[in-house]
Parts: sequence; C-alpha cells; structure tokens
Amino acid sequence: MQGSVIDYDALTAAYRQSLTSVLRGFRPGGFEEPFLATWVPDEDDAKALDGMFEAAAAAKVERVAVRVGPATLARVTPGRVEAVASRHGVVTTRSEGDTLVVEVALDGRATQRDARAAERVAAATPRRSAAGPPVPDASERASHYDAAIRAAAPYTHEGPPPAELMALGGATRVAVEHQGAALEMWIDGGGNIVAARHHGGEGDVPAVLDLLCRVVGSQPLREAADHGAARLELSLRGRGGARVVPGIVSPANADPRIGACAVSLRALLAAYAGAAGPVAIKNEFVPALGARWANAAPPAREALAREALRVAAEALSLGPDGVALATIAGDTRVVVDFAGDVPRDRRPLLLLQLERSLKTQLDDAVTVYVEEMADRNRIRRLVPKPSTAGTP
Amino acid sequence: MTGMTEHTDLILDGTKLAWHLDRVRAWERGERIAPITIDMALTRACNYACHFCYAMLQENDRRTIDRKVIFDFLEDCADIGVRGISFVSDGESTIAPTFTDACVRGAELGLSMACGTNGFVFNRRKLEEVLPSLTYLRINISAGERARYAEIMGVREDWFDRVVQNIRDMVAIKRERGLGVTIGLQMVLMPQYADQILPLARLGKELRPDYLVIKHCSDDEDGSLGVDYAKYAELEGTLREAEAMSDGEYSVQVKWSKIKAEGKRSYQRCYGPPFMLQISGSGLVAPCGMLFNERYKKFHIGNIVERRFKEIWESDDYWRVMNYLASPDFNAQKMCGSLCLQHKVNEMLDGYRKGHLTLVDPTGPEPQHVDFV
Repeated sequence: MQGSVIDYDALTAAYRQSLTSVLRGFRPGGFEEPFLATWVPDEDDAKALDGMFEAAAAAKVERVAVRVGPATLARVTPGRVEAVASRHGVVTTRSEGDTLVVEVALDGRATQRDARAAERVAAATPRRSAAGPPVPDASERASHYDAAIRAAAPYTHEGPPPAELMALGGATRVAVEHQGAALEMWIDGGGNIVAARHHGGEGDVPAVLDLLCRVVGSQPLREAADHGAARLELSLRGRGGARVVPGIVSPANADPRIGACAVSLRALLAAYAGAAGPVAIKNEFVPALGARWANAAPPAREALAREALRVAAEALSLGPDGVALATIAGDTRVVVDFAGDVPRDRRPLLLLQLERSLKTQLDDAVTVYVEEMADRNRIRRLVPKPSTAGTP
Repeated sequence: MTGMTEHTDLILDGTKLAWHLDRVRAWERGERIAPITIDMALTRACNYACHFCYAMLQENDRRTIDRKVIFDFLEDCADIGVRGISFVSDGESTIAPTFTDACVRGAELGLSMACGTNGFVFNRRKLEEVLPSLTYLRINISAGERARYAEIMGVREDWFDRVVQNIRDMVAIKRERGLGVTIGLQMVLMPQYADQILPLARLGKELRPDYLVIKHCSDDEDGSLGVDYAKYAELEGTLREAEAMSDGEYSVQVKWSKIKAEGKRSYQRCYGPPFMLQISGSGLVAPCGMLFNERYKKFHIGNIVERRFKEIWESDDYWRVMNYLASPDFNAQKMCGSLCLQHKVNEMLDGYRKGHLTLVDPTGPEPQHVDFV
C-alpha cells in the first residue's frame, strides 16, 4: 500500500459521490489504504491534504504519495501543497504531466494547527423572535364557520333522547350548562356515549351543540373529551378548507363557539367521573370502519379504490394514468404509484388531496401512501453471542 | 400533575419545553412558531453499520449538503428564532466535509450546536477545533467490549480502540481548557445487547464522560428491526445496577419512561414537530425522522438543498403538514414507529391540550442544554 500513489482528485470525487450513494459502511470509494477510513476531506483542499497526511501519520504510515490534479491545482498552488505536506515530514515533489505528485516521508513531527476555532468566541447575536403572519381577530376567524353552523338545521339531537334508548336503562346521565343551553349525555357502563342531546340556548348555540352531538355520538366519553371539539372544528371547516390561523389550528384558537365545546365536554367527563368513578386517561380509540368498506373483501376493496382513484385523479387533472393503485395494506392504507411524468415536487400535496378524496369516497379511516423506498444496505440481523466477560 | 419531569441539572429523560413557554403560548394562539430545536444530519451516509440503526428504514432521495447550503440554513435558522441545532438524525455528520465549519458557524450565529456521532473520525486536533463550539457531544456506543462492539456496530474491533481513545481525548480537552461542552455516551439498547450494559457502564466510569444514557431502540410501525419491547422489563435489575455506578462527575441514566412504555404512546395527535423539527441528511425537511422514507411523501415539505429553509418554514406546505399531524386525521398510535425524538414534547403538549396539566413558568436555574428540548 505504501508504494501506491493516492489520486487526490479521484479520491475526493469518489468520497463526495459516496456520501449520496453509500448508506452504511461508508468508505472513500475504491481506495484501500486503511488510514483513509479516518480521513474526511474539506472544501478547502489545503486542509483536506493536511488532514490526509495527518491521518497517515497517525496510522504510523512511513511514506505516503499523493497525486494532485489540475482541477485542484487551480484552487491551491503547488507551493501551498508543499507547505502543508512539510508539516508532516520530508517532502519531495515531481510533476507528471499536469499533475503534481507529493511524497512525504512521515516523521511524526507535531503539527500545531491554527487554533482559530478553539479561540473564537461565539458572536453575541441577538435572538430573533419567531415572526409570521398575524393571527386574524376572533370575528374574522369565526366567520369561516358561520355558514356550516347555520346549515345545521334541521336539528337531529335536540330534546330528550328517543324513548327506546331510555328504555335500555343502565346508562348514567350527565349534563352541563353550555352558554344558556343544556348539553346532556347518557353513558353506558363501558364509558361510551349512548345518547347526546341538547335543548335551550339562543343564537348559534343550538346549532353548534347539535353538530357537536352528531360528531361525538356513540364514541367513548373519554374520546369526546379529548378530541371531540377538534373533530367538530375539522367537520365545520372541511379537510380542504382554509385554516383560520397561520399556525396550528385548535378548538380554542379557531372559534370561541368551538372552544366552549371543548370546555363542556371536559366538564361532562368530570361529571361522569364524579358519578361513576375515575375514567382512565388512556385513550386508544379508533373509529370503526364504515359498513361498506369493512364488509368488502379485498378484491372488492381494490375495485372500489381503483375507481375512487380514477375519480380523484380526474378532479386533480392528473390524467387517466397519473396515479395507480399499488396495494392496500391492512384495512386502511392505500398505497399508490405515480406516473413518471407527475412532477416530484407536486406529489406531497397530491397525496394529501388524494387522501381527502378517498376518505370521502371510500372510508374516513383510509390513508394514502406511496411505496416504501428500501435501504440499499440489507438490514443486519445479529445472532446474539454471549460475552466472554460473563452475562448479568 | 405538572407534566414536567423532576428538575435535574441534566434532563435526559424528559422535556425542557417548560423553559420555552413563550413559544408554547404563541403556538396556542395559532401563530407560526420557529422550531426551538432542529435535529439534522449533514449526510445520510455512515461509516458504521450498526445493527440497531433506525435510519436504515428511512431511505429517501439524496442530495449533497455543501458548505453554502448549510451556511444558508444556519443563517435562516438564526433569523427565524431557532435556538438549537443537533447533528444527529439519519447519518454520520462527522464524515461530511462541512462538519467542523458548520459547528463553528452555527455557534458564531448564536445557535446552540450539538452532535451525536460514532466518534471514529475524530482526532485530537479536530476535537480541539470543534469542542468549543458545541453544547454537547454524544458518542453512540452500544457495547463496552471490543468484540461485541465490532459485532453490534458493524465495524472492525480496532475501531473500538480508536473511539475509546477519542473519548479520553475529548474528556481531557474539556478539562484542560475549561470548556462548557457536555460529553456523553449513548447506548441504544436492544434486549439482546443486555450483556453489554454493565461493561459499558464500567467503561464510562473509567473514561469519565459526563454521562452515559441508555435508551430503547426505535422501530417503525411494521416492526422491521424486530425490537422485542416486552423483553426490556427483564433488564430492569441490570439497568439499575448500571445507574448505581454513577458518581459525582459521571451519571448513568436510563430513559426509563421510554423503556417502560414498551414502544407505546399515550397520545394520538402529534404536536411536537413545530417545536422540534427533523431534517434528513439528504436535505429533506419532514416533521420527524420517522417520516423520512419515501413512503411518507405526503409529509415531505421541501429540501434545503433546493430551497432556503426560511422559505420552506414560511410555506403553506409546511403548515399544512404540521396541521395534519395535529388533526383528527392523524393517529400517532397507529401511523408512527415506536417512541420518537419528539415523544416527551408530544406527551407534554397533549396532556396540556387535554387539560391534564397546566403550564407554569419554572423557577430556579435553567437546566443544561435548554435549547435542545
């Protein structure tokens, strides 16, 4: 190994290429000198060469020869190369065509590196605060939900629950006062809402409560308290609807009418806990699949998914072959392939848009992904070997 | 319940979000907030082949992050109010040509800089250059014995010797120069590495870094790495024995909350990424490292090699994805791998949103590494 000449230009090119082509077990491509495993190039070629000689010296290499090509010599003079090399030992150079070969007899001399970074003190840069578009005022935010709220009529959850439900018995009734109205729920022994009703109130209050009851009905009360108001907000806005704040939307910052629902739902949960005992904080609720999707066999699901993708693709002007079904994984994961001519930078948004469409057409639980990109290195599987030092 | 872990000097099994309540309140109001911490890598490549590497599951299109790209990125981060940058993520940043310059430049801009690394390519000279710019330097080391190190980390046995020497050198440099950098060791523990818990704890006690932290191994939602979370319970005694090796200057801490969670989350919505973002060594901006793979393309926001980070952060794409994660359409219990970098932040914010805890401005001194939430 010590007799060969390291081609610096080829090595650095291979190194940079390998940074994006080799994932695991990275080595500078095509070179076998072991000391190069500890070497990292630098965008400053003088530093890079200095590092190479340093790595060789640390590995107790006696002699190293490096060929520097014209591209590098355009950036760093032969004199500079020689000066860098001479920090590490006795240097001889020769020209071979338009390249410079530098040979160093490494003698372990210590190199006092410029301690510029070690001595530098971080500049006292004022910390800028995060800035962005202002949050619209409350009335402007609320206006996004007005139309959906006013379209709530006719109400489906107003007044006492149906007689047949009351006849079942065994449910715990809880109620809260909500902005002049009453919000009531009947909870079964498993903590699930069997009936959600409202009465009274003025203005938008009955409409908001009716919509809330529709969203949370038949869910666990824990789920309603944790996420019910957020579900209401999403249902009012619609998945593709403009967000009412520039940052993260929440029931509290979206609209006071929705924020009040969150408060009331938690109050109901507290009331239920007071009556029936503590309610576990753990929440792993997943909404049930719709009947059509749940009952469809895999071939039927694939047919439904293909048709839904065709409709969605058309609406998105993707063309008939723009997106195709690859597979359906589990109950809800629809995996798609894009045609090659669909621009890559469009695909993230297209996937979200496709998902919105498929949730509407197929089932609310459906999610959309593309095929996994596999690691080019095989995942290692170790066979455990006991330590010779003894095991605990 | 306050939702905050015990206030220790070094919070390794909790979140420091409580010391950034100004940003939490802005988030609550619906403002666009800059991440407090960004975890990224300068490349996806790595000179090791660790058995437990989660990055193997997160392949995506690769670009080269050169000096201009990283300097522009750091400038944008300082501009919008990012506080800490860690070079950990999905690659070995120390093998990138820009590593030292990036650490130094970030520190000059007033950012807290940190790195997680296998520590192999360091030498004393490089450590002298980079340590003054770092808040912490953490060595990934999942074995305390040569042969097992080579087996678990996928390298030659003599590489263990070099890493051990580098740890000695960094501890010495810190002491000699009175530097503030925290030197740590991190063991990613799969149950089958149990035989290395005590050897590694003993090695740490000999080498004298500031801490050894032992954490669970992350896996994707399909269990591709084959982590058997149920087996961690059998290791409790050994882990306690390792912790008992702590002394006044060397702390062995186990991330109990994640190990005992058996890979499960208590929450479904993901609120953490706006506070703690991750960027792949390919330059890909995604909410987190669990979503780097091409299969999660709907969560991919942009690439800092192609576009300035500040533009990406200001884009509707960014906030659309963040809102999706916080929405009822996303369920972290079903759609994510096991416990992530943002996990403790998520726990706290989710508990707050559900009314389980209140946010109280903490009193007393700030913990170390406060910019790394």
